[in-house]
Amino acid sequence: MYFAALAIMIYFLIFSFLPMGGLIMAFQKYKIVKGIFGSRFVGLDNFKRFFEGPYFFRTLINTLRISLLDLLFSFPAPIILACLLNELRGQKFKKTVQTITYMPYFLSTVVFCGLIRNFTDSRGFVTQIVNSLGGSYESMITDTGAFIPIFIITNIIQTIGFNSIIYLAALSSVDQELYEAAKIDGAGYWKQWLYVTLPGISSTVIIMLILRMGQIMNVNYEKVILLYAPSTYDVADVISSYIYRAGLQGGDYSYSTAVGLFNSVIGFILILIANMISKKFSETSLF
Amino acid sequence: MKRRVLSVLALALTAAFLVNGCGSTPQDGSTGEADTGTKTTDGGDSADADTGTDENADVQADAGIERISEEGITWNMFKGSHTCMGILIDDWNETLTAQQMEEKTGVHIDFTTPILGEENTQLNLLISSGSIPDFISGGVGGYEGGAVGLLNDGISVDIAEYLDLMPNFKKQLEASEFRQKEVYTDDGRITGLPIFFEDDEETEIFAGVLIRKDLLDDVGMDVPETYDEWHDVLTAFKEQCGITKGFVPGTTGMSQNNMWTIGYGFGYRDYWGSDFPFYQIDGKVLYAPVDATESFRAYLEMMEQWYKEGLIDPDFQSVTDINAQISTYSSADCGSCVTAYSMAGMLASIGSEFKEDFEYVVAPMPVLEKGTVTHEYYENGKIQLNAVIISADCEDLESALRYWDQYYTREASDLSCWGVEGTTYEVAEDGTKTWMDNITNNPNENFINMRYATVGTGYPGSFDVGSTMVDEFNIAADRLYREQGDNQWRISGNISLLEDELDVYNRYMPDINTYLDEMTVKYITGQESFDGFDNFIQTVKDMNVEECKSAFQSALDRYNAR
Amino acid sequence: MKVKETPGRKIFRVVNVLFLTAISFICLAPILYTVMASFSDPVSLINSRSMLFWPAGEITLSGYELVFGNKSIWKSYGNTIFYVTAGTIVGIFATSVAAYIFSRKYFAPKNFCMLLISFTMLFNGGLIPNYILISRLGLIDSRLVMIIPGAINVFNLIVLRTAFMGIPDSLEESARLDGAGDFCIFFRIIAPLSKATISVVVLFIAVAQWNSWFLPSLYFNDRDLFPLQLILREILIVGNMSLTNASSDVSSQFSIYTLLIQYCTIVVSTLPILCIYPFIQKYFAKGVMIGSIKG
Repeated sequence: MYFAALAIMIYFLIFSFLPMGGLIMAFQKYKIVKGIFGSRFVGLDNFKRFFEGPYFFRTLINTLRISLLDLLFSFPAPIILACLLNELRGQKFKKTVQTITYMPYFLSTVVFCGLIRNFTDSRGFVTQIVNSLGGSYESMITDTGAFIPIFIITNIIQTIGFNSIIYLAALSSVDQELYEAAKIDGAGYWKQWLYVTLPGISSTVIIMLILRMGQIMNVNYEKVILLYAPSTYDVADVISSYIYRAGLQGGDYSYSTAVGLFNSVIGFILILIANMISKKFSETSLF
Repeated sequence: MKRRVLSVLALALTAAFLVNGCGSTPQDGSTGEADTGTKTTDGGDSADADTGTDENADVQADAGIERISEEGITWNMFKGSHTCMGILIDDWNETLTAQQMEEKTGVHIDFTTPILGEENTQLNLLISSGSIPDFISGGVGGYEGGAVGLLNDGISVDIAEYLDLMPNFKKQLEASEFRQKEVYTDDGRITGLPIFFEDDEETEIFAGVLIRKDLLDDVGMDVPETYDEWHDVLTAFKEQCGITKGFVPGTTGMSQNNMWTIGYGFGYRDYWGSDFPFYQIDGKVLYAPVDATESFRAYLEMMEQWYKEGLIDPDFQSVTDINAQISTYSSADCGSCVTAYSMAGMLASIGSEFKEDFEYVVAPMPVLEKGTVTHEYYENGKIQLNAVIISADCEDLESALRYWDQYYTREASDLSCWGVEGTTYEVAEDGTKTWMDNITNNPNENFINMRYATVGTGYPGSFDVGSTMVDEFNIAADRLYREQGDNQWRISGNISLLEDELDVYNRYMPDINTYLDEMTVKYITGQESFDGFDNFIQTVKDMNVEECKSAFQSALDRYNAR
Repeated sequence: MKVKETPGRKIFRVVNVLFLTAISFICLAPILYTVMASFSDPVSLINSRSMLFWPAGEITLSGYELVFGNKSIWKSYGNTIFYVTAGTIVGIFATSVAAYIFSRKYFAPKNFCMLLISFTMLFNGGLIPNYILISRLGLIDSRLVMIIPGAINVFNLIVLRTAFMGIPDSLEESARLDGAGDFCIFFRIIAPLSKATISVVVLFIAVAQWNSWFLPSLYFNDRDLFPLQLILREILIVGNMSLTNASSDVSSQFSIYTLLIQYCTIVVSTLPILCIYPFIQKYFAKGVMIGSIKG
């Protein structure tokens, strides 16, 4: 067993830790021709450039805002879906719903965003529906108020089905005997859900949450770029999309590595914190 | 997940390089193809007076293609992909040009072709891992410093040192001053082999202002020439025909390629892309918001007024990619736009589904007063640099140079432009060449794909600008804009910035552009009132725009001094 | 013993069904649009502005003809099937072995190892160092590059490990008393009890392999090795360019078919993977733990 473990760690050493050495580019003025070890060391210059930029604060806030709202809404959504599916008695219906909700995940971002823009611009039918319900949008996709809801709701649509799969699996591993015992004790369906189901999947939920915390800084830049517009930069321009535009001129690998490193550090700190908290309050933890 | 982090970083860079390589950047010539030129059949509209092209240089007999090697040499070459790849051919060796050249010279080339769009990233990766290909064609736009950077870093060879080994190339190069000015760097080196255009003819202007002819007929008005006339026409469109998208500006309210704004006397390209928003008057680099503030403001105020009146497409910001552009410009609701006018035909065929007489015509760039001369239009230049770059590690450098020299012979140039006589093109009695039907009228493929699949693209040599499609509509449009003005204010894409200058520019300009993009949109849509305009300009100045300008100024000065 | 169904419960079930139906329709909408669009007439498609319940204009197969006319499509389908199969087999084996080892309480360094491994999930050297590594290992333009470097995905590892940790120790203890060794325990006890999670991870690995286009775009120069998604990405790229930023031969990059082809490529690339899910579903049956020893 220890032998196998060693082999596995070597695998990670080679494929993950070795390239990690490239992170040193964040502290260099990397030039391709000089290579990673030959480029000039510049300390925190790249980071300074990032922090002192006029848009640092805004992009950071936007990133956090979108990420946290997304966490708030699209993290529980698959869990709720899985639980609701679990309560269904008709197997055929259950399977159908599962399959249908699983499909949008495979729609490529490019095409999906094209559709979103189509439906939410000044003549899109979603805009018309919203306006008829009392909204007054000229065009939803260029409105700073509407951008985030559109972004998050479409995130949910795309990921709710696929992300619920793991919770469905967790639900199915809850010991049936526990349900029996609860029924004997007179618990109704609601109490059963509260005292058997939830705790049963809690370890899965906690682990997923911890991992999610690590992704706080990584808003899907492709989707942002496809959906934003200059008038929504105020709320939509996140760190990754900003770096993308900055990278349009001259390809500075050092700079983008530095920003990526910044994002990773924050993500990792969050994971550590989340892990510590969950260790205290539950049995589950990452490490 | 690891994959995501990798993707975020990498995609940012990938896409960055993709777009960077598509336009013209200060550092390198171009990575694209040279074509859509028009050779007018009357032959009069050719060499500029000041370049003094030696007409004979192109036409005189030369030795024809020499055999380079008897036993056969193989080199590997990095070459960018094209849309015909995968559909018509699988490898650049399948083109007629490649096959013929191999037969005649005895040289075989192994092509490394990354997937379309990834040339810039792939080249950087190849170089960083040490496996530098013998020849490089394309993908240079993503390398720091471009072709000049490659030369400075010792990756490519300075061809100027080997000019005597390349008689054909030398002859073509020395045929005109213009060629020498463009090809040599500021300090007299040659970074790569260019594609000369025969007689240094300019390629076709390909973008312009399009306006709906059918709507003009419906309201009984003529093609407008001044902004005031445009206002009247668009108002008529709106009131009489119910048009909601009278005019669709670029995504930030500035038209791409200055075709709409130049009438106000400044140049400012829509940044969404890789072009730089500077223009020059008499060698002085200028930036519209700080150097033409009054005109800039007047333009924005006019657009804001029009937006309020409903003459401008309220969704103009969303028209970012091709699909959105085609969809918008071809809708019955669209009155005018600024785009590549070669699309006019296709737009009409789509739009005619809802309005039978849907038709676009090219309108002159609007001006404040009738008869004003304009000073920018958009064409691809009279030369294309760095079609092929030769690596310093190339085995048997001498033979390699002699090999590429062959491409500058008459025989090879004809081959790489037109293909094989009798198979792909015909020569009439008076010497004019025309494509044969199998290329032009192929039912499944458009002309350009066919052309590239047959003769390839990006080969150095002397390019016959007439070998691209001769389309009446395009010729007329080209003539219209040339008569309206010249291109004096354009900054050549062939200037090169030094490392320090690049650093400055890359550090400040993206932020300035972000700010400009946002603010112009806010002014036009009325979100921001003009009371704060002076603050806006002051902020722009505070963002170090003068330093960026001076970086460009030095580069431009060096270019002009060549 | 049956619990009586309260009226509240009945209402809940009805609302549940309605709610799930609504969600299904919302999720179905973009899919329906894509499928309908793929059979539409190209010009009508460009002109359509609303939800498509039926192909726009005349029904045509020309989009599909063009997609399948791409010379590389069939080869790339084959490539993808190979990568998915091989990648999934290697992946699930490696990941579950690792998850098993790191889930055993008696394996002392387990938390430390997990910490290190989680670190790799967030910190990455970026494009260039990874490329140099792959290049030095000689894996450029080799099929193995799709299988080996990504064999153990940290997320999957964590998921599996959590599942394995959830199995009561008593089962393992009694198996050891009966003389079973490590791998025997793994194959005979742990794995069968974690069927649900394992099948989920299999799905994740397979889907990731199926969708992967970015790494192949970096590491493959030989078109014969391209997976399906990469070819389709090539087709999609064209639509992402802009009319005036691209080089002047615009008409070579766009035809009226471009939009149509994009929808067709999605259908072509998604249909196969959608078919896998129903097979996995059956492993989510309730009551996997029935019959285990009460601890």
